[in-house]
Amino acid sequence: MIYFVVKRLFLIVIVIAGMSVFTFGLTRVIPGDPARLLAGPEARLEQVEQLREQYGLNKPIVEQYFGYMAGLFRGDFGQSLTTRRPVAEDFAQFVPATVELTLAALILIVLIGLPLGFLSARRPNGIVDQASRLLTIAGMSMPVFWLGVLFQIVFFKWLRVLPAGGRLGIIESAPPHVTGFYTIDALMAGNMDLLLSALQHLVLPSFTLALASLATITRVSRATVIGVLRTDYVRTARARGLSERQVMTRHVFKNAMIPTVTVLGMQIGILLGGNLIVEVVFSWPGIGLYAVNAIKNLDFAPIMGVMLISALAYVMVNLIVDLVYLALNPRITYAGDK
Amino acid sequence: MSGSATAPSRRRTIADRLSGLATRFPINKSRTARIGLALTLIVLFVAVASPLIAPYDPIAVDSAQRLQPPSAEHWLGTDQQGRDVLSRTLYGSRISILSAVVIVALAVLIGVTAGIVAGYSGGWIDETLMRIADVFLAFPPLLLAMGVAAALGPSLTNAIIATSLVWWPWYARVARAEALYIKHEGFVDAARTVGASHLRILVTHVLPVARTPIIVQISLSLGAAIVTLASLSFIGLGAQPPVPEWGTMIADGRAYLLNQWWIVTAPGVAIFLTIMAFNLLGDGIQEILSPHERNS
Repeated sequence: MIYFVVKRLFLIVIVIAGMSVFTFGLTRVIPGDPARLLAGPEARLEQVEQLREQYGLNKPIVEQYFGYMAGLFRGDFGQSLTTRRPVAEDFAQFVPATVELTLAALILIVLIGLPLGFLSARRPNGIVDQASRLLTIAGMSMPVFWLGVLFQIVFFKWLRVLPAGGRLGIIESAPPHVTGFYTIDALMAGNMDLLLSALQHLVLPSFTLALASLATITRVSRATVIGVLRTDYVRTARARGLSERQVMTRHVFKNAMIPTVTVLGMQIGILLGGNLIVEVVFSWPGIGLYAVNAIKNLDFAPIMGVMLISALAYVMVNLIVDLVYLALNPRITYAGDK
Repeated sequence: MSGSATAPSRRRTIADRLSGLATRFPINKSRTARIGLALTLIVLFVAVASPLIAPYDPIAVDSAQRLQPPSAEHWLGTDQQGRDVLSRTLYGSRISILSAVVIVALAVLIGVTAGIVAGYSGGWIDETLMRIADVFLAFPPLLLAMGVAAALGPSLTNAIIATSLVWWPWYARVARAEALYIKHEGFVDAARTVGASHLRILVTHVLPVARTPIIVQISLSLGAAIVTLASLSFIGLGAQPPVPEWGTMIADGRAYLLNQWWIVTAPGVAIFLTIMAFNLLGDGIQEILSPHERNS
């Protein structure tokens, strides 16, 4: 077990180093000269040279890479041309919005996807199962950008029940900054109207972000529960006269959770990518929208920064999932363990 | 006379081949596969026939007809430049399907080559190739595609290259597992003993065995390839206007969302149906080819 953890950590270091080389490499294949790009179209030659000097762009590529890495360790992601601020400062402003949205989507996935999967598995081909199968097929085939737009047409334009975008209404101002999550900050400030508004603004973006993963989780948990229900230990438990409720909670739930949580960890990658689209559709001021705005200006420091911290978050979530998995399930032995 | 003698025999071989295909892919065993295949054939028909069935030129601007609601002349209305939405949507199927095929072909080419070389060689070659694959898998898929497409510059070709980079590691893993599995089989040893080159062994012995799991993987990734490419187009990194691409059409039509809802609805429904067709077909093929993974 210790061997596994050490090996897993070692591999993660390799993967992270690889990621940084790859992202750095991308900034160097851009057609055009980064110094010229940084200086803008009207810059004179001396200004370009000065920038080249200032940012170390005249040094050998390997040296530049280590300079970039040293910066990353100090939390320096470079300078954004769009906002004219350090990327790290922009992150401090935009990351909480993205995290709030992603967590809201995760809550929906767990609270809706898991029960739906379990209920479907209880009576395969029953009414719940048929309905959830339809939802699953539709959910997995619905592109995020079209779903978001469709929600806006239906709930904003036709039904007029939910806002079309943003984190708060135009005339409302943000609650005092504590966590950066408007819902929690509003609650802590005791401002219930603001909390309600923040929640209303979260509904459509979080559902849009969640749907595809929700469908996947429903499908996976259904398949796993059906598998577990067929095992000998469940039959034994039933034969011993345990109530259906006891069988479901003590035997089925725990065993079905393990594969489901692994898939949930992998869905984080889908959510982090989906943020790009959802934030554009709903003008949600997070790092996805920030990255897409940077793309329009060929502003590479923010793009690479968003790529790196998203990938890092994804890798870390999956590491945690693996470790929790290991702690929960002593039966598992990994390759190399004896 | 000789022509009439050979024609029936050739016809028989084609019939034989078709029945051989039907035995290998027993499509009637899976309802999902049947529905998926039917939908896919419809989408393919539209893609092939769009020049014949589209009523208008998909990129012809007609400023007198801007933002017209659906009518007898324009069944699905017109967009902000007076272009016929139905024609653009029909033509959009060509771009999505062609791009998906190219994306998957590139991913298979890179991934399968890397995978069988890694599995067959073992040692440091295997370690290096698989760690590179791990790095690609460590990025959230759409973010990886975004970064690469942004670095290469916004165009449909670059978006296709970027998207195929997202999928190659999956093929590499599948192909490597198969190569590892049969590396020590008797017939591979035999081939080596009679002096077959490594390349020959890989192509004639390892590749055919890896075929089935690769087909399953292909059928599962076509829908995802279409979504990723359209998402890149939606954020401005894929097809550029005036190309009738569904993601781009929805991005452009978003400004007219509240009053001219038909501009975004037509391409939205089209991309939903296309992805569903490929997903159902993929699930069906998986049910047929790897029944042990079926969980229902």
